[in-house]
Amino acid sequence: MPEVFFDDMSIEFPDPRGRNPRLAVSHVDLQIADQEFVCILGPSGCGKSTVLNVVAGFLEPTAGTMLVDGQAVNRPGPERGVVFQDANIFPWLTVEQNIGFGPRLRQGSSNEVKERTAEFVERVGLTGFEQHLPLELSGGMRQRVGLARTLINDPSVLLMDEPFGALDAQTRILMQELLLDLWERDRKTVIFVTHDIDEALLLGDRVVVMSASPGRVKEVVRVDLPRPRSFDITSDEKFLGMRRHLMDELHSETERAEGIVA
Amino acid sequence: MAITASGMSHVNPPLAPGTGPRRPRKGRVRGIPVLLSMVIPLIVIAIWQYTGSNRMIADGLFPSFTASIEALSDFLFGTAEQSAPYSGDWVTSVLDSSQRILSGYVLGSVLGVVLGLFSGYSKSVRLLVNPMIDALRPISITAWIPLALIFFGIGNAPAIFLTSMATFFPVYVNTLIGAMSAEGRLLRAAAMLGANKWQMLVRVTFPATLPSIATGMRVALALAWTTVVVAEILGARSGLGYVLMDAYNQFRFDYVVACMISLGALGFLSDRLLAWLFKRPLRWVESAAKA
Ligand SMILES: Nc1ncnc2c1ncn2[C@@H]1O[C@H](COP(=O)(O)OP(=O)(O)OP(=O)(O)O)[C@@H](O)[C@H]1O
Ligand SMILES: [Mg+2]
Repeated sequence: MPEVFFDDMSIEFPDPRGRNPRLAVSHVDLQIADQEFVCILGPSGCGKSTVLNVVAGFLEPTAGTMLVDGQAVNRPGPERGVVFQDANIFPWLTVEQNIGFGPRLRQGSSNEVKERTAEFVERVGLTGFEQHLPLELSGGMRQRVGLARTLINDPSVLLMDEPFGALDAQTRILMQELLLDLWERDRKTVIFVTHDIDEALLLGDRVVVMSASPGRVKEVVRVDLPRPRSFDITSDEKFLGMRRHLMDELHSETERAEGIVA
Repeated sequence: MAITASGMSHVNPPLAPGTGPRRPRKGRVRGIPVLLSMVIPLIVIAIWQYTGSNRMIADGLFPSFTASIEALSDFLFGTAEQSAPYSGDWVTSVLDSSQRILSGYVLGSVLGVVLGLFSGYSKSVRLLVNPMIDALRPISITAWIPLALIFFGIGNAPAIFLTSMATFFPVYVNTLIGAMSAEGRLLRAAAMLGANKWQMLVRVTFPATLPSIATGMRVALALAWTTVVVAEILGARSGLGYVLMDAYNQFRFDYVVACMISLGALGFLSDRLLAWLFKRPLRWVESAAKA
């Protein structure tokens, strides 16, 4: 059974002027296997976040179904961890308190929770920064806190919405490699939204290309590159070939999204 | 594309708190701001002293600066040669007033924070309590004095009641607005991490609202002092407000001014104390904490 299963799923938003609802995502059919890393690529506004928000439980589909592990989802929960674009960590909590937030909700501040928190602080390389507040951290560090606080809950699905989109190029590469490392030691099902082609190819087993709004699945590309991967793979022949292809696909969709008639 | 190892290991260092770039100041200008800020107070005191000691204002009833300070010293330590009715009563008066203001302020703040949080967080609570509060809010606190007196008689109770009313409204309104604007994205994150409704209220909405609570409580503190003085003038037999009014009735304007100085100092100190108490819980707020 596929871990995440979309069957003819559409999502509409009510029109602010109250007339026709606005179709954001249209007839998505997609199956994501357990332990698969899938990247969703598409132009701005095509409904990538909307798809992810349905899996997270923030939204319900208007038509069709979305199942996680065979179950319909109707609320957010720790088994479906989300890493947000802007980290979205609690500004009044220290690094340690942010990372331990989930376990502490369930178990209070036991020794076990403290040890587990320390372990995840270390996994994302924040040892020494436990007592820092978010405002004292760089963007990359904040995003590592966001990643660790989600992973500590041991989710069965990890949902990432352009998590590195706001970082500078160097930090972004570091974060991609960190994510690959973390994923290799404990392969989770990942849905990773991005509009960066290199990022999608470096990370994913498959890349789902979405069309301009209303978003539908335009193409699914299997990324047959060996794992474990590192940034070096971006100069591989095969990588460059797929990159070329995806550039063309995305380019035409972006033109449509921006209203340029080809 | 080749990425060097050194290029990749670069991560922005975190900012240490309080080590922002500071412009070097020129040594010789350092003392001038202090002098500048003392100019107007010194002129005011000089005029005060001159007009007071020459009995130039209000048929000579307005006391000079030194007379007022002498009254204050007598009020504090009982130093005057012929003792006034309140010689050495300062500590008792201040304790009486402080007890009233503290009880009323704490009561009003707790109620304001709890009700404000719940009605900011839950729409049904808001529909339940907000119309009543909005209806009562425009009534000036001083307009409640007659009712407070017939409810509670003379003494501590009416002052505590009025002070808690004066405190409640600004704390409630600020807490409500803060809780309603507590960012949805943080609540979403908490839900995703497994928080239930109660945990979201306590662990997200409450800390997110703390800056607004602090604002409300600082506004309320000034109102609470005003209210306690008015309440003591009209409905108490002790406290700074009572002494102030009694001194007026006995034509002891030096004591009136001594009470005013005491109230100013206590108001200032209590505001500083409150700011200090909120400093640590609000250190995560980038700019507001410095207020
Ligand atoms: N809450 C909402 N109410 C109304 N319309 C919405 C809402 N959320 C999204 N939309 C609309 O749905 C469409 C898809 O939005 P979505 O945020 O999923 O796009 P996206 O692919 O994530 O874009 P980006 O790359 O810019 O993040 C957009 O046209 C957007 O305006
Ligand atoms: Mg998006």
